[in-house]
Amino acid sequence: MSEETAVNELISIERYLNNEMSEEELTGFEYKLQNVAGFREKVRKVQLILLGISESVFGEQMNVFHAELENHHSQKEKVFVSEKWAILVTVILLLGIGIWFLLPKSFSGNSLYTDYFKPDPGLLTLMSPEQDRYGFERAMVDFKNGEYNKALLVWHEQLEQNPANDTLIYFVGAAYQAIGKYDRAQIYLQEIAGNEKSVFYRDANWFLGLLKVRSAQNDEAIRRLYISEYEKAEELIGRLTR
Amino acid sequence: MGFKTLGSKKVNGGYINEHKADAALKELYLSNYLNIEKYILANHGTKEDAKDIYQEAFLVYWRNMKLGKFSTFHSNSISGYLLQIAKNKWIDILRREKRMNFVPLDEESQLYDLSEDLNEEEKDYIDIVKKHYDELGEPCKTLLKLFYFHKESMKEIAKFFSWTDATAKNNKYRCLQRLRDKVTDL
Repeated sequence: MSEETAVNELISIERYLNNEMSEEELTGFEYKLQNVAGFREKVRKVQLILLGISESVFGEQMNVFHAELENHHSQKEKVFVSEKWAILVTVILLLGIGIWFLLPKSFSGNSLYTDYFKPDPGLLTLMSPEQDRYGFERAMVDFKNGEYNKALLVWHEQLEQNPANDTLIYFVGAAYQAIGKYDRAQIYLQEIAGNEKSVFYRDANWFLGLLKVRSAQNDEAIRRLYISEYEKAEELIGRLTR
Repeated sequence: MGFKTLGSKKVNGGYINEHKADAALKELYLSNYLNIEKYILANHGTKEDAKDIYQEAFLVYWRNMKLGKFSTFHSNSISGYLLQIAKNKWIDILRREKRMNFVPLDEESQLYDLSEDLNEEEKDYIDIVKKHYDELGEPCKTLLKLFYFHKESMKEIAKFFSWTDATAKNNKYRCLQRLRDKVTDL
């Protein structure tokens, strides 16, 4: 088959697959489908080729979607640097506790808290069409815009339906902390900070650690900050033990 | 058997244009991943396994949608459907590799019809097409991608390549025919 004939056949098959044929054309094409040996298979193969092209591109696109997911997760996952860091922090921790009892306190927990506290940046919002998820994500947009009370209204309602949902518990705690209701924040964060299985375990320990810094419970603060593995934890532990 | 339309904007029914469809697919992809990752990680898998399994499951969903298998687009049922495909695929792997103690499928997750419109031979054929498409070279790859995946008009494609509309149309068919020849030559 010449290239021109092959291309013309391709044009015709594509017009058929796209429902673009006139009545007359369609009748002729369907006759061919019924009566010409191998033609039906040819049409199916063109259909599969078109599907294959789209699938190949879609595969690339899924990788782009996934990179976005990983990028977001990497912001949430705090990197535990190395064993050396763990040993160093342990030594600092032990030294710090000793020195803490020997030296007068030379800093204010409140000012350290202010230096280190930045509200959780929140989660990527996708605006899922699912009712519950949409409500959660709508509230997450409010949270990220600093409208913590609005977010709390929604999340509290959702918590009534899902009292064990660690995401809700964590973000309710984070919202209370952001508006300065520290006692309430502590109640919620404590729950997640004791749940190693939660993806917010380290975050909750960081924010709970900061609350402990604020209330000058330094031993507990150091323990929580250490667990958090946050980048700034080492520095803050250093300042607490100075 | 009649052929369902493919490649036209009519295929998905619910979509007004493909850009909205892209955004909806992305949303769907992002919002369902963690659920499946959680399952794979709880059953001896790694994050890499979770990604592979999820993408396989998502491709099955997307393919069936393209082939017109789904007439409705309810995200709840899609989530359950994706989870079930992923679980089945992962259980197959666990059984094959004899990694034991996986979490069994519950009754609820068996509610979805997982049959596919393509047989194994057709799936293999698509894999061959994908391989040759990846090796097709430019400008054919981009041209076909813009037309068949992104649903750009020939006018837009012509503008993109600085071609006339007629050249764009001819080149599209030449590129498609070249791909067809490569696949047929096997």
